[in-house]
Amino acid sequence: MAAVTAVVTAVVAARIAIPIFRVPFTLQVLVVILSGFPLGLRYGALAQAIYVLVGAIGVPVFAEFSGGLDRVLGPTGGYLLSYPIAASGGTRRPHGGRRRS
Amino acid sequence: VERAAPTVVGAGRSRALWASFLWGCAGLAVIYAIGATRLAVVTDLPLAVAVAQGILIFVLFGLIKVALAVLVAVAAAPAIIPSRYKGGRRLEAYPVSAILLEYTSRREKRTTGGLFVETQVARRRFTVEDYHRMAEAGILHEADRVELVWGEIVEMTLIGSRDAMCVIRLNRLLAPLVREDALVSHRTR
Repeated sequence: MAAVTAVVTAVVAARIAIPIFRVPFTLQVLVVILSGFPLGLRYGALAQAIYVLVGAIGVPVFAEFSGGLDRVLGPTGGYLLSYPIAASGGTRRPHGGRRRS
Repeated sequence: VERAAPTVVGAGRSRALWASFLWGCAGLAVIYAIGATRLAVVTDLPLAVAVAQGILIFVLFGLIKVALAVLVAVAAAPAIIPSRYKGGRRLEAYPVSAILLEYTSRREKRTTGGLFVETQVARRRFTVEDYHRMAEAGILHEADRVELVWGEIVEMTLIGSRDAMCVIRLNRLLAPLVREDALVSHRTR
């Protein structure tokens, strides 16, 4: 499911992108936040980490069908790097992360 | 305990939506904070310009996106939870349901308007006497790995590593205290 979510993020990001100033307007945020709800802390972050890694190695999954490490390290790379944190930031482990024995 | 599909009702629904929305906004804040900071650092833009270009023109749309995400997540909860967390055993693991459950436990459980409606069936709970009589009648056998918990007969869970370590530590703690007066032994099954 994490992989599917990563693909959905890629499709939404690559297909729908309106460049405004330096930062393109995309629906990535919608998918990133949404992915955190069903997937939870760990897998939400994993899904977005997969997405960023796939883009970083050159697959054109970022906005406007772009990809590559330079995109991740570029001016708008902060948004991409924040996705794994944000996907888990919108959620939390219940009961403070404690596990029952 | 078998749970029915979660239903979100009444005032609890709006509270759940708001709570989920706030958690979504936390994620949004992370994106904008890291994104705008990176934008300012790499482009040498003044922070105010970076904030304007990287956050302000997107924040309204961002909030709309979070709201959409929350609506979808809460609406999809009854469909997702039964398929992913069968039997309600890991119901709390679904973040939306965790939020709902938390809010349920605070107020709604004391009233009739609970967010999560468990299966409403009248249960007759077994007493300890009933339990022993079942064993005497041959319904339960010594080899059965069951126990009576709050009037219900449940399968005993496997001993996990934390559970086993707790028993070992208790054993080490208690054994020297009683010395020759009693025997302290960990359970054997």
